[in-house]
Order: sequence, then C-alpha cells, then structure tokens
Amino acid sequence: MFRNSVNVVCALIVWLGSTTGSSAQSQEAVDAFSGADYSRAAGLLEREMSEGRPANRIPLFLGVCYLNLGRTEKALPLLLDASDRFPEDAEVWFNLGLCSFRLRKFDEAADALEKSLSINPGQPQVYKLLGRIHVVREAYSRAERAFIKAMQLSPRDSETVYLLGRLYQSIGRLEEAAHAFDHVLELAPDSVRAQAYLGTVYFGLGKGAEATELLERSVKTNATMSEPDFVPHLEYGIYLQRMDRLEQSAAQLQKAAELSPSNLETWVELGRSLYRLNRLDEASRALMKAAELDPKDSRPHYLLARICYEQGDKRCGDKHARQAEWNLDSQPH
Amino acid sequence: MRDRRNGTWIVSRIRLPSLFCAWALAYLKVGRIRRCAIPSLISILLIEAGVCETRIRFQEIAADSGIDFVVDNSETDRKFQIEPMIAGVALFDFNNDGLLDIFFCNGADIWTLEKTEEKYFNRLYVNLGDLKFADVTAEAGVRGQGYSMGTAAGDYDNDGWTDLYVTGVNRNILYRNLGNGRFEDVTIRAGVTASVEGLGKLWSVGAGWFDFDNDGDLDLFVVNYCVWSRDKDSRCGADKPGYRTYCHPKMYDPLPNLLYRNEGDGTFIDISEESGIGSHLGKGMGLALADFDSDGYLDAFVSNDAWRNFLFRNLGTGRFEEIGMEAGVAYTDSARPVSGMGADAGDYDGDTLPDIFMTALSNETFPLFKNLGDGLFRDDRFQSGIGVDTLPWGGWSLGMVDLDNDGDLDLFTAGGHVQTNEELYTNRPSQQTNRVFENLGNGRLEDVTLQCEGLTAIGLHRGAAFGDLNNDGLLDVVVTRLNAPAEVLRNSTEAAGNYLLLQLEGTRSSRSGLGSEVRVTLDSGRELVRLARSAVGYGGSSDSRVHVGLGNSALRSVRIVWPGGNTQELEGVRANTLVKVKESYSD
Repeated sequence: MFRNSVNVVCALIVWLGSTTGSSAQSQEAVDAFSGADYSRAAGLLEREMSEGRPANRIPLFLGVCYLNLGRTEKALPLLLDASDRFPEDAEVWFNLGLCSFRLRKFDEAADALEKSLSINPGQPQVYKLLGRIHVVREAYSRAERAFIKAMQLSPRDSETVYLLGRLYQSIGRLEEAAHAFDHVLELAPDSVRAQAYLGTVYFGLGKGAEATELLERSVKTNATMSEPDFVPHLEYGIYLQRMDRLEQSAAQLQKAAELSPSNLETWVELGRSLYRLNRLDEASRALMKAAELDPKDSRPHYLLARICYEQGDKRCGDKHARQAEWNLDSQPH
Repeated sequence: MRDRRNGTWIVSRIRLPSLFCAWALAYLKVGRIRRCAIPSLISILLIEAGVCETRIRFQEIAADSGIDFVVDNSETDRKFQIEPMIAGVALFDFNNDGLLDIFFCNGADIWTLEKTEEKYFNRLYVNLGDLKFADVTAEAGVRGQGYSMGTAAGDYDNDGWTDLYVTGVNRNILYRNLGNGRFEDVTIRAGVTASVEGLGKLWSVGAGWFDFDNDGDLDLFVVNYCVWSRDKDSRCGADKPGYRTYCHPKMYDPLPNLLYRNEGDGTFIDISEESGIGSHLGKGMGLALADFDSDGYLDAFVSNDAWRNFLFRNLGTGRFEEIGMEAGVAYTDSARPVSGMGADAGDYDGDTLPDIFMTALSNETFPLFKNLGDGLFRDDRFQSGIGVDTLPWGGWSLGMVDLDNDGDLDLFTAGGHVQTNEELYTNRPSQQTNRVFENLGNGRLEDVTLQCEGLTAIGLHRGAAFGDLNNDGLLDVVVTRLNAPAEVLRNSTEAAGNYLLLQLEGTRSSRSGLGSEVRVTLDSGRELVRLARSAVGYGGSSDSRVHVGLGNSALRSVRIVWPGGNTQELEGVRANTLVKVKESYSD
C-alpha cells in the first residue's frame, strides 16, 4: 500500500546521475531504478559500493532498493547511515520511517516521520504513514489528525480517506466512518473495499437495507474485477452469519478463502459459520487452518474446543480450551 | 382485556384498535404460531397500519406512586471507578401483607464513603396498595452505611420474614427482618462482612440467596468486582475538562467471590476456599442461580466484566467446579471476554432447560447461551436475533421475564453506557432507554422497544428488578438510573395471556422455596418450566414468587420440584390466580 513515491525515486535518480559521474555502471543503475527494476539496481549499486565508491547517496539509494524488494532488515542500516549523512533531507527521514514501520519499530518510525515533517510539512504521504503508525499504537486522536492533514494536502487521495474510515470504524465512530467511506466512493466509485466496509458500518448503525445493498454490490462489483478482492466476500459472509443466513455465509466465506488462502479472519469466520450449521468436520478443518495461520489466536482453538466437547471428545476439548486460554492470557491487555 | 377476577370480558374500557389487535393476535396465536414468526396477511396489515406490533406496554408511574428515589453517586469530574456501578433495587414483601415493597441502594460521599447526608440514604418504600408507596426507611432502620451497590432479599433464618443483604464498596450489611416493620443489622454476628484476611473488605456489587447444599436454609453467594481504592485510582480519558472517563476494568486487579454457608443458627461460615468458589479471581457483576445440569443441586453463573465468565458447577459435596470454558459460557464464540454486566437464567426457547442471558456494552452484543443439556451451552446470540439487535446498546441489569403472559420469556434490559461522556469518543449515546426484546416463540427475539409505550426515558439506567407490584398477573419493573429519578414501570400490556402466580413456602426446603422449579403443563401438552429466584440481573433482587404466563391455554397440571428433588403435584389450580403453596412430602 505504501510504496515509495515515484517523485522521490525520480529525484534520487536525477541526483544519482548527476553525482556519480558518467560511468556506464551508474547509468545502468539509473535506468534500472527508473524502470523499477530494484533487483538489478541493487546489484549495480552493491557493486559500486564494493568497488570503494560508496560516497554520497549510494547507500541511501541502495536502502530504497532494498525497501522496495522487501529486504527491510538490510535497508535499515543503510537508511540510518543516510540519516546521519543527510539530516536535513526530508525524504531520507521518510524512507527511514517507512523502513522502521515495516520492521514494526513504531516508535522509531514515528520519530523519523516527525523529523521529516519538521523539515518539510507538505508531504501527504508522510502524514498518511504517520497516521497508520498511530493507529497501531492505539493513539487514535493523533491518527485522526494525521489522516486529516494528509487529506488536506492531497484531497483526491482516496486511500487516505479510506484509512480514516477504517480508523473511525475500528473505534466505533460509525457515523463518521460511513461519511468517510461515502467520500471514498465519490473519489473511487469502484472501490469494493469501501463498498463492503460501508455496508458493514451501516449494519452496525442498524441500517439493514442499506447494508445489504452495499454488501451485495461490493460482491457484484468484485466479480467484474480482473483481480477480485477477498474483502467483499469476507464482509458479506460475516454479515450473513450475523443475520443467521448461514449457508449463504459459508459460501461467501469459502469464496474469500479461495481468493486469500492465508487470511486468518476468513478461516475463523468460515469455521464459525460451519460450526453453527453443525457441519462440524468441515468447521474443524477450517479452524485448524486458522490455527496454523496464527497459532497465537485464541478464536480457532476456542471454537475447536466447542466442537470437540459437543462431539463428546473431552480430551480434545480440554486441549484446545487450554490453548485458547493460553493465547488469550498471552495477549497484551 | 380480561378481568382476571371472574374471567369475563370487559369491553367498555378497551380502545377499538386494541380490541382488534387483541383479537387478531389471539387468532394468530393458535398453537405456537406468532404473528411475527409467520407473516400473515393480517399481521402485515396490522403492522403496516401501525395498529400494533407488540402488546407489551408500560406506564411510568414513579411520581404518582410516591416513589421519589434518586441514586446519588457523588459524581466527580475525576471519575472514580465506583461511581457508575450502583444498581441495587429489591422487590420483596417485607411486612407480609401480600404486596411487594421496594428497597433501593444508594451511594455515599465519595471522599468519606459514608452516608453523610440524607440524599445518600438507602430507601425502603412500603407498598400501600393501588400502586401507592410510602417511604419507611427511618422506621425500618435501613438507611445503611457506606457506599452501597446491590441487594439480595431472602429469608435466611426461616422465620417467615424476608431479610435483606446489602452489598457495597466499604460495607456489606445483613438486615434481619424483625417482623415488626424494623430491621436489625446482624452483619458481624452473622459473619457476612465480606472481609477477607489479607485483602480486607472486598468491593461487593451483588449477592444471591440459594440453598446450595439442600439442607433447608439459604446460603449466600456474594459477587465481588475488583480491587479499588480512591487514592490509587487511575486517571483515564483525555486530560481536559469533561473528557475524563471511567477506566477500563483491566486497570484493576480481580477479586474472588465469596460463599457463606448458613449454619442454621443465625450465623454463616465463609467456605469460599473449601468450596472452590474463592480460588477463581474475576471481576464479578451478574449472578444467575439455577440447576443448569439438572443434577438436583443449584449451580452459579457469574458474569465478569472484561474477564471470562464463571460457571460454578455444584458437585453436591460442598464443592464447586468451575466449568465455564468446558460448558461454553466463559466467552461467546468470539472467544473474547465482553464487558459482562447482569445475568439471568431462564428457559427462553421452551426446551425446559435453563439458558443464560447477560448484558454487555455497545459494540459487544448481549450474550445468550442456549443450554444444550449434558452440561453444554451454545452461543445463540445471532440465531436468536439478539446479537444484531443489541450491537449498539449498553445493558446493565436485566430479566428473562414473560412480559405479555404468552408463555415465553421476553428480555428486559436496563440501558445506559458506563461512561457519562461517551458521545465525546464514539457515536454511542451515554444515556439510553431501557429495552425490551420480545420472544417470538420460535427461538427468535425481536427488539420492540420503540413499539412499547413507556420506554422512552433515557438515562444511565443501572438496576432493574421484576415483580408484580399490584398482583394483576403482569410483571412490573422498577429501574434505577444514576442521578435521576427511579422509574416504576407498571406493566399495562393489553390482551395479555393467562397467568399463574405461585408463592412457595418450603417446610423441608428453605422457607422461601428459592431454587424450586415450577413445571406447568398446558392443555396443549406444552410444558413450561420457571424458576423460583430472586437473584436476577445486576445487583438486584426480584419477586421470588414464580410467575408463569400461560398464553390462551388452560392448565393441565402444575408440579413443584423443590430444591433437593422433593416433587409436589398441585391439584385444582386455576389460571389467573395467585396460589400459595406449602411444601408437602411423603417419606
């Protein structure tokens, strides 16, 4: 969701081209970088560094390449080095913040982003990332302020509005969440996630008819997409489960599981719907899959315990009950 | 409207739409078919025309009845944790005149935790008849001490006069009813102070009387919340005027509950440890006492706040085993604790087994655990419809009660958020209405609050107790709300079904008969099971008489199963009567 902005990369490329001389290798690196071939660019930049020319910004660019390649651990020391060398460069701090965020070092990430904003307060992408970090740290008021600032700086960015909607939804400010998702749909009418989450929010607001319409629409829209998203099926499946339409719920959740086999929520909810349908063997399989995906989640084990007890298998029930309790106790309060 | 004294129809007092509605409902209620369960042309027309959707009606009559009680919690901007928790209200007949009287718990000065002014006194109102009440607190000697929370009424000494236990932050009080309009504080002599070595006085929120060992006297279960002291209370919410909030329960350490065994000589022994009750720490709120596994011994369900619920299975040996996890009531199937508030036990789905209903806060839904038998329960929130309908609401005390006498248990919840300024943080209102969920008779419940007259008042509702204040066969409700007048909701449901009201008197069992099961078979063959209980909801004590709504049916048989299993068939019982039953047995 948060890729380095094209502008940043372009600026770096321009700078790289102008400062590393006219070597063919440098030019090749620029070409690779501009073509988003970060793997090749990284290889060339690594060679430049190994050849004893690690001057100037090459470590920074290599760090950015690593970030884009998902080699975040390797990116971090390079970006830290860059922040020492270029402490007045807002982009450096942003990339360091992004790297720290991906490494789940949220305090360090927030510090880096604040530093970036102190140098250049006009960066919507920095506010957006800062907002996400505040959400993770449960600093919801700060997150809200950051997203709103990002929206002010980039009013057509539907992703920021979407994130704000998700924030409101998660903290129970459902009216505001609905407003935000409505706005997303003005900016991006085919956003199936906004449709689905707006439906879920309407459900929470007691607007059943609107919820049904939106959730059904999100699933239909999704079917026209070249790369269908699992979220509409998950949200619709949960909604149907709450409405006690369990067969339909299970079908939607099965579809979500096909589209995103590694999504924990999907397997938990599928297991729950199947359990309520008394399709206990199928429910067990779905819940075992969920337990594999996240052994520390209490829900699959709790539901598995219920199934075992109802099937008269006390030993199995006790085992999963203990695991569920253990997982719950291990969760941070 | 049916005149319950002679069974004749009185038409003149009935509005025509109501008569039409009543006729239509009676027509639609053939067998167990309900208008909401199976849409029919008539029901659709009725609903479309706005004639009626539920028959349940209330009239708020507190001011007219002479009830002027206001809970005063000594509220501060600092938001101490004890402030939002006061709920106690008891409906019991303290003077044996056949009419339910009302007792209310109250707060105290927050800085001294003493009832330094009259506004903090607990209150007892005597029922004068015709739904008129008079304050007899002073004469009765029950103004109380300390910061009170909840109450439990029960005849612990089997002398025929109902006694009263009051729980609180810094004082628990056992009042012995002397039978002359006065009560005597016997707390210390009886040994029920709720003080524990090493922990001091525990913060008790509720209690319940039950004869757990079937020895013929009532024992006492005390529900404790959490460790609290004013000087160490955390500060939560934003640090600006008006934004402070009550802290999440996770900020406080849990406490054990207490079990006092009645020794039969006016004293009690704390057997919390040896019984196993005291070895489980929680943040107790609601208490529901019933024989959930049908083994002849009363079990105890405790709803906990942001903590797993407990189901203490009575092993019949003086020990309890906590089986909430195995039974499936520790959590909903979301496998996460909710802000458990009140709790009640009753057969909501007509399978004769006691189910469990509890309240929680907004965005959590109110759990409903269906008893499957064999010691297992299933989270039935969404199957019943209660999950969807309760998502926006906060609930405190509650009751599983048949409000329209149609033979199934409806749900009443006292509504309000824990916070007084929730609007600053979410879209949920702090002050809410009470809510009624009508049982449709097909396993589904429907929120009919908006259709029920008399439920429009908002507030920080907390306590609710249920009982027939005017002996008209309809269950009335008394509700408290913080820093606002209590509500007396007279049940004015029109075209209600037949009923039976049983006042039990144990002889071998405890005098009050608490814990007995009343099994009624209707002429249709349908069996209804209702429990003699007073521990209902959160911090409250309800009418211990057993109310059974019968619908339009007549009675085929009535059987009492007294605690311990003594079974008694009643002969010649007619519908729409109050029947006093004295326990008889044959050895």
